[in-house]
Amino acid sequence: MHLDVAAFPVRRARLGAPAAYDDGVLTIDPDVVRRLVLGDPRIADVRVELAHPGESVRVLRALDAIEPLHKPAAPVSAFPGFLGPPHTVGHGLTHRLSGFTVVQVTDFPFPASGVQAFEEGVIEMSGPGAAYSGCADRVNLFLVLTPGRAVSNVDYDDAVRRAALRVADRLAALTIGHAPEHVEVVDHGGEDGGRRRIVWVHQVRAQGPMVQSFLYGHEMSGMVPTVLDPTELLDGALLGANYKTGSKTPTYVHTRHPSLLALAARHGRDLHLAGVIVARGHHENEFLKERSAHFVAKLATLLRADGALCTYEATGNTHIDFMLTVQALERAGIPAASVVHEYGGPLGDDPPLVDFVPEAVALASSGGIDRRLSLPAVERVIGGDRLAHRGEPAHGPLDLPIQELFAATATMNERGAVAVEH
Amino acid sequence: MRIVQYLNQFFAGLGGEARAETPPGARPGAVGPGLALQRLLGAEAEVVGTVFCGDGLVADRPDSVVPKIVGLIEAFAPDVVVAGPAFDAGRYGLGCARVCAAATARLGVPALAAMAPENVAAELHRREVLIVPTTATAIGMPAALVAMARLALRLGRGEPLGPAAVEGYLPRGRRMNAWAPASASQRALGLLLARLRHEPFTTEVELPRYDRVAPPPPIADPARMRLALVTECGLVPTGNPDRLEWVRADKWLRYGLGGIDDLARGAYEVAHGGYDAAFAVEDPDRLVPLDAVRELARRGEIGEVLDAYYVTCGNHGILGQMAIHAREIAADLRRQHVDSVLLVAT
Repeated sequence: MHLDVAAFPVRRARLGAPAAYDDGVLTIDPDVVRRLVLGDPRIADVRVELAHPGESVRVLRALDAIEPLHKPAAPVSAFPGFLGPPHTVGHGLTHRLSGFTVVQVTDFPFPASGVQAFEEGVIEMSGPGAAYSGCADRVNLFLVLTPGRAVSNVDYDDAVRRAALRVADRLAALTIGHAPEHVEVVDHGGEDGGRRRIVWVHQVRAQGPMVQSFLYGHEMSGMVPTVLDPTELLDGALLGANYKTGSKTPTYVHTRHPSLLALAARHGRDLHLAGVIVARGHHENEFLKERSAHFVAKLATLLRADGALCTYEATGNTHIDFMLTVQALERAGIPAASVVHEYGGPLGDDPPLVDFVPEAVALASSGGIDRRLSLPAVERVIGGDRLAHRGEPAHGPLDLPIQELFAATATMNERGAVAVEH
Repeated sequence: MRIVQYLNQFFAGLGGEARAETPPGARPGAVGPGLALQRLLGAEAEVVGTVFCGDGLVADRPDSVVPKIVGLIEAFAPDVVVAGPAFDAGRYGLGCARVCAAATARLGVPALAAMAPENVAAELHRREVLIVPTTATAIGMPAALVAMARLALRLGRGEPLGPAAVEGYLPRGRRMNAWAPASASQRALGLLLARLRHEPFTTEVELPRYDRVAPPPPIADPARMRLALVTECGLVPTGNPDRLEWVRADKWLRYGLGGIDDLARGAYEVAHGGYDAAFAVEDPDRLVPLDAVRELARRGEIGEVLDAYYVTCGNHGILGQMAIHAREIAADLRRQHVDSVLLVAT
């Protein structure tokens, strides 16, 4: 499929009226945002805040972060299944507010325990935590939300996601009529020309409410692996809804994943990007893990893949799904290379991997996520006075493992983190 | 900067294997390889003393000999201790590693040893002692001394050391974060294309080696067992009174059961961030199956049940920490005369 992505970079955002995009400056009308958000009675209130890279700002209770996309010509919408029908995207023209994110910040209305309990991701906009924090290098609009008449946390989560998407769509639409800074022409069709055919295996977390992902507007726990054209991801086919601190893949990473960018940069040169296999992680048992792993290998075979680049979201249980997938690919004769984040404890002297298969011979490290950071006091806190699940006062200095920072795992991959032996 | 060097009897010029029982001794200034080391150190550092001992003695009786060696080193008030190079000499390597470890532990002085990577002492001590790799034989003496001098100066200045591959020491098993110029996905793609082109490639993560735990044999006579319930599921009394951590727990807990037969709904909660605990909150026996084991005991199918359960949180547990928990729990179980355990994993 052929997709043109018109980039409209946001270098600065401000609150005011009328809303406008002009030469890298995004003016956001808070009244318009309020109306868009509060149209849903499941949300009682919203406050809007902005933060730019380098500001002394700490953000708590951040859920997902979305880079706004808008498709100016009907019939399909970006973020299909949410902003429009679940019809195939990845073709035509898409406007993108590059470097800008809409971030939901909220508590949940009902108590929950276990994996459904709320674990925030902390965003540090400056200081030593910024290197590991998703969104720290972006201009951000924070929607600080108060729950309304939602009947459950799942119900409220749905309201929050849809509200952020409405706001994102409206903001991206402000670019209509403006000239983009550049247009990215994406087309992975055509013949491979004898180049090696590479698939990207994109395993996402689907464990249930609070720890899930959405494909074309629907959660993924029942699905077997499927194939997407890379352009579908650029148009928002996948949404992140994983609220586990560091291990989440926010939506802005799903739409601009470092694996996709790495492959696209070499497509037509020394490889042919043959497709994206999206798989679910965190199957409940060995049977389902094996079934999924072998579906991935089968799809890669059907795509006539010569090799597979494999990445995954989250850790622990999902890491086992991932390693079984690597094994199934290798046994199907398709060499794999993978990105893994590491554990190892505060000193990095514990074993780095939760699980492995002997076939995992080509691993790139995205760094150790349980090393600790000393974070200084900050001038402004968004999202509460105390950390959600740890309880510490939020303004003061903090001592945290890296994995408690927002989307640390995906961010460390993107920015080139690596664990090296000392 | 004051440097003390540890040598064996041979490099100290006292003789070969026949003198392997030479007792610990010291000389002021540099001796043998220390003379070349001094030239490499330049004006910034001085080899103020040389301490030596016979290889046989330090290898066979370290508990009595190493403290004496450290005492001799301490008398020179060093800023840095260097030991060797021992090349592939196993007993000399052990002496160097033990002296370095003890000097750092007891005197708080940074230390480094030099030996071949295949020296048995390197495998045993590389995690605790900074070791400069050398050739197997003394043919590599000049290069070993250059590396020792460079690292000794850095230690003496209090400079933090970079990665093993950059600084030239044997990896100590500590993986620290750094930043590469390319994303991890780009680097993985590089590995993949190298594989497909049949070019050499190096994985960035060596696969770990875990202990293999053999399952114990079946219990011979369950009717006479004294059973305890142990779990990493994070089940704690409501309110989590002892603040069991949800992730990376640094404690384990023992909770008495007060003779009850069933864990009541509402009396327990789950301190564990890794699984959906809704089913367990409904009925805590689903995690700690007290109702079932009490019933089995009543029917005489199993013996006694300890009137307490042990719990920690396994979520993101640090392996070394979990091994400590396990040893402590096992010791406590012995004190309670428990001879069998039902280990409930999540």
